[in-house]
Amino acid sequence: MQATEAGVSTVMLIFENVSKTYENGTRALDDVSLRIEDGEFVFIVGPSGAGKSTLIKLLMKEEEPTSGKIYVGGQDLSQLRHRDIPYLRRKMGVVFQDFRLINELNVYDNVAFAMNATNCSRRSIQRRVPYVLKLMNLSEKAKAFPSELSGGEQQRVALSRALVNNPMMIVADEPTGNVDPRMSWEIMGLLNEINKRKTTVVVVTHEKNLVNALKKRVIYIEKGRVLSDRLEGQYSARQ
Amino acid sequence: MRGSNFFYFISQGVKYFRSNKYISFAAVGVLAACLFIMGNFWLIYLNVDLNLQRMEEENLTMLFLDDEVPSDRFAEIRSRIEQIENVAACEFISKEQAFEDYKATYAEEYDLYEDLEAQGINPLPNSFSVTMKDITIYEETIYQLSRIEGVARIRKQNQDTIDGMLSVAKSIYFICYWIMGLLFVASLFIIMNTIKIARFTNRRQINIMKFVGATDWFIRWPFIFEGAIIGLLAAVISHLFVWYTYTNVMVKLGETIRIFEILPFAEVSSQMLLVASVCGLLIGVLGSSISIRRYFDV
Ligand SMILES: Nc1ncnc2c1ncn2[C@@H]1O[C@H](COP(=O)(O)OP(=O)(O)OP(=O)(O)O)[C@@H](O)[C@H]1O
Ligand SMILES: [Mg+2]
Repeated sequence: MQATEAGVSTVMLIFENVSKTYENGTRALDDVSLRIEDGEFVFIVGPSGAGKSTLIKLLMKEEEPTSGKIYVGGQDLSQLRHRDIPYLRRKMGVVFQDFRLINELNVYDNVAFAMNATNCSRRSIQRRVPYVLKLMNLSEKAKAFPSELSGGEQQRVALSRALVNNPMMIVADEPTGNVDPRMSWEIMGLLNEINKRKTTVVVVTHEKNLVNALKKRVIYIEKGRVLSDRLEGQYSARQ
Repeated sequence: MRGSNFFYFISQGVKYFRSNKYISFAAVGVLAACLFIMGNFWLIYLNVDLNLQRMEEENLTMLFLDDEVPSDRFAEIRSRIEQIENVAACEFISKEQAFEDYKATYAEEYDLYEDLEAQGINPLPNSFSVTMKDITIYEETIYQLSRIEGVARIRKQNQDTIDGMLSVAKSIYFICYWIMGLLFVASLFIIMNTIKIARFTNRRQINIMKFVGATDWFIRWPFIFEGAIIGLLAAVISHLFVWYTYTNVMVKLGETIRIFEILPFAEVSSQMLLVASVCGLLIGVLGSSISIRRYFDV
C-alpha cells in the first residue's frame, strides 16, 4: 500500500500505519492502515472510545498523527501548511452528531454561509443553495430557524451545508445519533443517494440495523486498531 | 480582500457588534471614557504649548551698547550677534529711535522728559533687540551675547516667568505623555478582555466556519470591522464630551484668568477628532483581533 504508486490519485483516502497518542497518554489509534477508493461508501463502527472520531479529526487535520502518514485525494497531509488547511477542508463535507448549525441563521442562510465562507459568488450561491435544499427535501423549510426543526431536519440542513460546496467526500460522525429511528433511515438513504452521485461517503455510526441492512463496506475498530474490514459487512468484529 | 467581500465583512462585523449588544456598548463606553481623558490631556498639552510659544515670541532680550561705541562698528556687532546659533532675529534700535519710542509710550507723562528734550540730551543708549530660537538654552546664549565687545548691559525679559513656565510645561508634557500612553495600553487591555467575553458566543460560529473551510483571514476580517465600529463610535462620543467640557470649563477658565491664552475649540476640533479616531481604531482593531487569536490554533 505505497502512496507513491501511480494509482494514488484514484484513492480518496489512505492511512499508512497511523498512530495517535494524545498529550494525556491515551493511545486513540494504534498502527491503523486503511485505503478508501474514490466513490466508495464506508461505515466505520466500533465501541465507544475506539478511536473513530479521532480518525476523522486526523483526516481533517484538526489533530496531527503521532506517527504514520495520511493522504487525502493524493495529498500528503503532513506536507500541508497551516494556510492550506481550509482548502483541504473544502474538499470534505463534514456532518456531526450535534448538527452544529448557527441558531441565529435560518436554514437557507446556514447553507449559504458555507458558500460565503469559501468565497463563492452571490450568483452561484443563489443558484446552488435552493438546489441542494431541494435535494435534501428541505425546500419548504428554507425560512425556518434550527430551533423550529426536528433533529432529522436539522441533520438534513447540516448535510445540505456539507454538500453545498461540492466536496469529493462526505464525512459523517454519528449523523443519526440525535435523530429518531425513522429519521435515521432517511438520513442514511440520503447519504446513499449522495454516494450514487459519485461522492465518497464515510460514516461513523452505532446503528447496527442500518449497517446490516445497507450491505456496505464496514471497518470495525476497537481500542484504536482495525479488527476487521469487509465489503458487504455486518456490524461485528468477526472476520 | 476581494471587493465583493468588503461589504460582506462589514455587514458581518455589524452583526457581531449587534449580536453582543451589551458587551459592545460596554466596550464603546470604556473606550470613550479613556479617549475622553486622553483628549483632555492632549488639549492641556496643546494649550501649554501655545502659551509657551507665545511667550517665546514675546520674549525680547535687549542688548544695550556702550555710548563710546562708534556708529561704524554697529554693523560688525550685528553680525557677531547673528553668528550665535540660537539667535533667531536681531534688530538694531538707534538712540534716537529709542527716544521716539519712549516718547510715544509715555506721551501723557510729557513732564518726565520735556527738560531733557529741551536741553537736547538723549539718555537712552543704542541697542539691539534679540529673539532666540530655543529658550531652554537661554542662559548660555545670554552669556555668549554678553561677551561681545561693546555690549554694556543686557536686559533679560521675564526670566523668572519663563523659567517657571518652562519647568511647569516640562512636567505637564511628561504627565500628558505618560497618562496618554498608560491609558492607551489600559484601554487596549480592557477592550481585549471585554471583547473576549463576546468571543465566547462567537466561538461556535468560528468553529463552524473553520470546518467548512473558511480561511483565517475570512474569519478575522469581520471581527476587525467590529473593532473598528467600536473604536469609531467611541471616538465620536468622546469627541462630543471633550467638546462640551472644553468649551464649558477650559475656555471659560481662560476668560477668567487672562494671562493664559486658550485655543478656541474650532481650531483644534478636527485635529482632536482625527487623533481620537486613530486611537479608537487602533485600540478597537487591535483589541478585537487579539481577542480572537487563540481561536486560530486548529
Ligand atoms: N482531545 C483528547 N485528548 C485526550 N484524549 C482524547 C481526546 N479525544 C479523544 N480522546 C480519547 O481517545 C480515545 C478515542 O476517542 P474517540 O473520540 O476517537 O472515540 P470514538 O470511537 O469516537 O468514541 P464514541 O463512539 O464514543 O464517539 C478515547 O479514549 C478518548 O477518551
Ligand atoms: Mg466519536
